[in-house]
Amino acid sequence: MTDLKPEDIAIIQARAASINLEIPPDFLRGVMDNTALLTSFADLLEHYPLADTCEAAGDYIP
Amino acid sequence: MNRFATVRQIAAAIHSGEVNARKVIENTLEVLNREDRNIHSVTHILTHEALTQADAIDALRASGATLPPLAGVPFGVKDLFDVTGHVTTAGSIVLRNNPPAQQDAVVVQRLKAAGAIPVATLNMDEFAYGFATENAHYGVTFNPRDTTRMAGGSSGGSAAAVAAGFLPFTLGSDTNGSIRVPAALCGVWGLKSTLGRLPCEGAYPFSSSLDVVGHFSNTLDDLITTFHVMDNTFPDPEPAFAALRIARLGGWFATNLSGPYRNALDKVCAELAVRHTVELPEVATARAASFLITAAEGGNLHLPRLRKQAAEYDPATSDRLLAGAMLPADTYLRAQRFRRWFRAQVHALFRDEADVLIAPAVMCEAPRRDEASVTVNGKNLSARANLGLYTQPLSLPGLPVLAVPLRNPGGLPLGLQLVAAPDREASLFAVARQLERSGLSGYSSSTKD
Repeated sequence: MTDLKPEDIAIIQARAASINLEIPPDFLRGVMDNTALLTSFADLLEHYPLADTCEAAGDYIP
Repeated sequence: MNRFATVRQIAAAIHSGEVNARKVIENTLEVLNREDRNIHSVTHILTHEALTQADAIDALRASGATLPPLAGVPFGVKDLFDVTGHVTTAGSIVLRNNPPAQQDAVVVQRLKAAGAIPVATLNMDEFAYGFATENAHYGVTFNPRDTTRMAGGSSGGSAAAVAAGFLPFTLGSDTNGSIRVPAALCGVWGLKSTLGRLPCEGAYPFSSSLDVVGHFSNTLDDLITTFHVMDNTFPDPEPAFAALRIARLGGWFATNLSGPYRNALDKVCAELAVRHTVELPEVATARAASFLITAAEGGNLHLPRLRKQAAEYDPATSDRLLAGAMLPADTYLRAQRFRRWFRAQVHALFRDEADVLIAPAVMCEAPRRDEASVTVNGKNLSARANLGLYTQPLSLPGLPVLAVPLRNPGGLPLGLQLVAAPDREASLFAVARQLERSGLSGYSSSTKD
């Protein structure tokens, strides 16, 4: 198990603070692992080009 | 009656007077009390309410009135459905101080109006976030086909209770595969209908833009019968099997499959004379979008409680909800924009190329609970997080998907996904009937089957 980097911890704590959330120390590793996973998925999405006219999906209208 | 009696058999026996509703419910309660300790599918047994409803059915019959179609048929509900008088805990202890539900969830109301009787609430991953039904508060549900194996989740208690013959049908919910995964691992039928078709009112949400309520049974007929009761509709005429364009999903859905799964899919396609393989575009991104939407919506829903009582959540859930709550709005909105694009591509495929698509539900037979890993792209990864490899991308557009148990003589259950265009559940049923006629669907524990 690798040590958590202080700069990564600082980023997570700052993100949490921005929504009035505090990440208890016991949760840090799990939250950071999950954040890394979500970031990898977000990167996939980021690389897919979407037209400006492609709006967010709202109610489902088949 | 034998404990694997179907919905139709139980209803017919009660209608004819061969058995009364109280006897059916007493037998069901006795089986649950005696045998569920081996499976752990149940979180709460509704003894008093179930017997009261059974007596009402028997009184109705004694009065000479016409019985409703599902009179006296027992069923169970995933722990996230409202049941009048009970606190809906959604597999957690976090909601335990909420007031009891004032009314049943709408699908439960419809089933009760048809005479069916809820007898138990059933185990799940906390707040439906997982593919394992390993719950820090209520325990682990075991796979009745082999108790050393995972039951799958998050509706694992619902799938296991049907597979064990405790209940003829049960309710679950499916956001990213929570009906289809446990149905495949436990070898039962499961239906995730078109997004929005069945009312979710009274079902505790997980990811509100993806959540679908649905159900499990041991037979296709029972699944269809109970679906139409919950849908408040008469069955649509099923299209002729021969008129349907059926294609196999390739690419993403043909990689990482175990040998038994590859063989079973080949056999199904040969039986159905499927020669056409199609690929969905950008499946990895679709899975990513589904994953991100779920994390963001789940995290946002729980954020007020996470600020105060994160330590009360199942550790497997809290870390993911906390991470999800912190996702930027840009990521969430981008995922929802991609969803619109992906949905358009999938709808075009159904318009131009196929009526029903065939895909595996999971990549392998039920993993061992003590290992709980699956192989994806040559890597051993957590089963709890990755069993949805083939279900998550299909959740994104909102299509109806039927989970079909495939016979695998001498082996563990295998499960198929049949996928159709929105509101075309009848096409799924038509293809499933053909598989049933061919003897490929169902569950067999014997090598002779």
